[in-house]
Amino acid sequence: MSDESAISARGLYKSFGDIQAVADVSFEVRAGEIFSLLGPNGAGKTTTISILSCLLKPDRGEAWVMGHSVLAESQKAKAQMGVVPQEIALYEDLSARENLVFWGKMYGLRGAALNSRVNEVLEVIGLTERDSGRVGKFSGGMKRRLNIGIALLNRPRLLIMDEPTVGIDPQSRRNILDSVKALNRAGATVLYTTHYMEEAQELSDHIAILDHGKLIAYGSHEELVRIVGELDRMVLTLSAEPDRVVSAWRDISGVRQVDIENGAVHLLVEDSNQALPALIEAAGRAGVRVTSIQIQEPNLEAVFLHLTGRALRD
Amino acid sequence: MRAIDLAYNDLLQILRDKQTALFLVIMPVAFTLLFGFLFGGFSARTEEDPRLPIGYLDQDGGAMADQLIRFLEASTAVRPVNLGEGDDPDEMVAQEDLAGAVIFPAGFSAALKGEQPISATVIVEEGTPAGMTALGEIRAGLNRLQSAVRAAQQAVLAYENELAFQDDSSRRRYYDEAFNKAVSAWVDPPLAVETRMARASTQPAQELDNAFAHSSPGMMAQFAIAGLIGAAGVIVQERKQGALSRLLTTSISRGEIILGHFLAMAAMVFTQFALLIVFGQLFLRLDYFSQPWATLAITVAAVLFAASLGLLLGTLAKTEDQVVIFTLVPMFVLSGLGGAWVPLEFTSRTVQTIGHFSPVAWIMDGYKNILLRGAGLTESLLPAGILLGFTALFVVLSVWRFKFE
Amino acid sequence: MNMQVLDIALKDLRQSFRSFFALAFMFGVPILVTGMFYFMFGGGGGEDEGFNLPRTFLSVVNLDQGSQDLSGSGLSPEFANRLTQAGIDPASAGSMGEVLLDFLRSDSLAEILEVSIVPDEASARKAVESGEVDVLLVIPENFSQAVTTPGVRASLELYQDPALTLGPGIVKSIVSQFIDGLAGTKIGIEVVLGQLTQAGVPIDGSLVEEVLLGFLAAPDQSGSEDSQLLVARGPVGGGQARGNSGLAGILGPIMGGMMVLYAFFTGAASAQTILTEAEKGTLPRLFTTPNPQATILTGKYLSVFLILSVQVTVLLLFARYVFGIYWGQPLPVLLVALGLILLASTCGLFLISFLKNSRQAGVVFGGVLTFSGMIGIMSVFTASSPAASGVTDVVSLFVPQGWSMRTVELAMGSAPIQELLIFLGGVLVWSWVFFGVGILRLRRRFE
Repeated sequence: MSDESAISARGLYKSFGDIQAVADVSFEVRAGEIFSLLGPNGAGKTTTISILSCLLKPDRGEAWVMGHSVLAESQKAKAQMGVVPQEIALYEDLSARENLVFWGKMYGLRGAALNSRVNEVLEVIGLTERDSGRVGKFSGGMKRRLNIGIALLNRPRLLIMDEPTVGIDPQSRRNILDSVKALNRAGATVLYTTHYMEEAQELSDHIAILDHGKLIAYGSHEELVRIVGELDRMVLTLSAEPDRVVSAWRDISGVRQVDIENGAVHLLVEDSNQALPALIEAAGRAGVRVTSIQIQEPNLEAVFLHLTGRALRD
Repeated sequence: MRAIDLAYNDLLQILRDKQTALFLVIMPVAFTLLFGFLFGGFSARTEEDPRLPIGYLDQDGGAMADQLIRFLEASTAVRPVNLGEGDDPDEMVAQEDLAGAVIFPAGFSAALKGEQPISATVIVEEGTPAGMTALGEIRAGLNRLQSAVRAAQQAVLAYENELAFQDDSSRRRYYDEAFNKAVSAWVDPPLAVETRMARASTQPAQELDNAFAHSSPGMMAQFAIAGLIGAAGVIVQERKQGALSRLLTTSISRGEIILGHFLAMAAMVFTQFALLIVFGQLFLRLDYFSQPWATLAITVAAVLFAASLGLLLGTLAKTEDQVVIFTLVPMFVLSGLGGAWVPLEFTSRTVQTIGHFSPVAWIMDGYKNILLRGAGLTESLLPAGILLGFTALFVVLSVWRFKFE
Repeated sequence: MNMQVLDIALKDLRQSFRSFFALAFMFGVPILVTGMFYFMFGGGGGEDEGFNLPRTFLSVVNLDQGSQDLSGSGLSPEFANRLTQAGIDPASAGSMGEVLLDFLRSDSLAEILEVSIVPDEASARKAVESGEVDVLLVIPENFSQAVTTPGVRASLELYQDPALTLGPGIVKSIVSQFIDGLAGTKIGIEVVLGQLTQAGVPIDGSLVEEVLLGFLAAPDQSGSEDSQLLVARGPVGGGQARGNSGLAGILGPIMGGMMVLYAFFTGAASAQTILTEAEKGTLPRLFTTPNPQATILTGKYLSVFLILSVQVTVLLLFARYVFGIYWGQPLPVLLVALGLILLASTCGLFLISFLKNSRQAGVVFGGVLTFSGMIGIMSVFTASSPAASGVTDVVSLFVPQGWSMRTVELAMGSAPIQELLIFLGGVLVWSWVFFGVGILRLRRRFE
């Protein structure tokens, strides 16, 4: 592990009964960067996060957070991080301030230092005016903000955020994404999990893609996109079952990959302008009409599709 | 028809909750048995002597102590138990192994014949019904003993007024004969008090002290209310989860919604009562079916009252926690005040009157009238009518307060 | 101690006291139930006030025809004089039914009997059947004759409401005592006269008068409550110096039972927050803070302990100063309270460690704790039944609540400290087992 690593994970394995949730996951997060774990539901993101935040012990492998082993020096590791869980983990019959004071104490803050930090965090998350209100009466967005605020109390060098934008409105999501960037600019390393490609794309310096517990790709956005090269992604829907035309399309020059997903045909082609007429002609010969066409620039969705044969959102 | 569908849906939800089986059947049966057994509910059927045990320690060894023991053996309320060397009567009374204990000191019999009798020591917890009964029986026995002594003394005096004894031994023989005659006469005294019960039921007289006759209706009433937690909870959940709003977008009317919930609760409580009545009839020898129409009238009225209470609870409570509190507090208050645990006869007239503001008191009256007084349908109309009055009141309140939003 | 342990405990305490539900179960229901009995059994006084028996409604039909032998006109003036000297009105002596009526209506019985004289037997019986009256006493027409005439027998009838036990029992006791007095005199006279006849002494009116006067003059304890033949006292040693009598004597065990029952509910409910926090995510979040698992679980257990401490203290004080219940000497009470708090808290931990989620808690509360609690405190219900007490003494010790209840009763009864320590030892053993198993299971679950 290099001196500049905030997180170093080596060969992590974790299973629950017959289910292999995490299998041989290794990656490194540099200090000061935003690193995303991207993958669909059930990919192993939360399990990986849980291992790194010392909630679960891996069956095999090791990880270090800020230079401290999560197995042998878990207390020291935890002192360096702030964790924002996916579900809203607050005490609903306490006020916002009472929640922050309690959690601050859990992080070892006391007295004037605690009070001062609580005030600062309330300011950051925009809840100063509502500090004495019972959390149970807060809106969803307010609860999310408080949920994040708690993780900031101990001025963590590493912030772990597990799908913080799930189920919230677009405006609140925008606010959270902006906050993540601001925290990063202020010096925090952020480990961010999501199944939204756009978020990973917007925020991250580096991205690791997980699927079925395995790390299938790792790198910056540009590096990942290069996996699929300069290929264009096309999605065509047809008037009949695609099976009749797919084999013909595979034989067309310039067509690199053809997959059927939910009745639509996903293709990776070298040049969509050149490929399209040939595709339409082949469909016509098979007696099938093309009913819609989408052409997309290479993105993480394409990468995932290329690597797994499935769409990221499924 | 839609109300019945709604009721059926409610019942499905209720019966899927494990707690329901507990409160509906298992616990009332268990507590009926517990309370009834503890207070001698099986006494008529077992070999065991149900009379209160009174220990005796005979340090005297004389005839008087023996005779008192014989008096106590003939009692219908107590039975004497001979205490051994190592037995501590104080401890045994304190631990409630005995209702009381009597210690005959040395010289008791001899002194009884003289002018200065020596007292026997009676150990009882005077504040308890068992202690009071024990003391009363011992006192009665001692009084009869003393009466026989007095008869013997007077016999000797009367003889000496008219004639003279030859010697001391003939005097003693005369005394003993008079004493024995007096004691024998007490076996069947010329004046007696007989008790008859005012009843016309088919239940045999010896079953009348069946303690289950109180605990059975008491626990039925109490757990009918307790069982409403699940049913009222369904109403609360329906409102909270948005299912009620969804229902209102269908063609079911508001009245049908309320009726459906009411019917579900009524069906649940009726089943509960039916099971417990059959249980009481078959296993506790409570003759509920001696007056079938009367039993049906009281049962239907009690069921409707309980259902209306459940409807009101589901109407007023906003959360599941509130359902529990709003159910359990009335359960305790109505059951306690209504005499489900301790019969109201042990309280003052004022409390008995106040207790009858609790519907549970009328349920108790209704069933005990049937079981113990042999009351028929006519006599059951009053308690049934009062219960229907409570039903009407709770239904009106529920309809008024039912939140459809 | 790690400050975080206290922070967690105090946070839980604060949450508990903000919950109406928790407050109702901790304080409301036990006080309500005891208060109800307080009110039902005459609640107005403290330890000294006796428990007042309710008055029994007694109606009397006096069919007695009187006795020629004792009617005023049949008595010699000298005998009538001597009757008066003996405190008996010669005019009423002719009707023992009237004498009995006067006795029942006397001031000494006014507090427990409400007597009404009814001329018509049929309507009197109907009144009993309809519940207007508790008991009917029918004095037969040959009552006086049976008292005065050899060979004549009479039986008084008590016609009672079969649903009642207390009032008819009291009436029977009172009437039987009176009748026994008369029967004793009659038996005595018959024995005396019989013996004299056997001895060859001729019996005439004046001899009978002499014998009767002899009985009247002799100290007659029959039918009396003030018998010289017995001295009644309460048991010494095990139950002596019981601080509660009267109303407090009834309420004490009830309040003790309620306190034990609801302490165990509170213990389980408080421990249940471990499950609810696990479900809501705040417990896993706690595990992400730089605090060992042991600190967090200790804090959770301490919260249960503190909540119970507050509950037990409040209930003890409330019962003492509002209901006048004497719990015992300070040291035993303190030990008993600590034992109850320890046992209820560890029992809660133990039970919760077996649950998968908070939904299952309903079965725990509704079933396990209610049933075991009622078994544990069943001595409250068997106070008046020695036969049943023997059973409850054994059966109640099968559940932890029974051990706590026993310590409460021993403290209340001022039992010797050695006896109390035995049961406190049992409480400690239960607690130790519960804590060990509960903590082990919880630690494994959250590893």
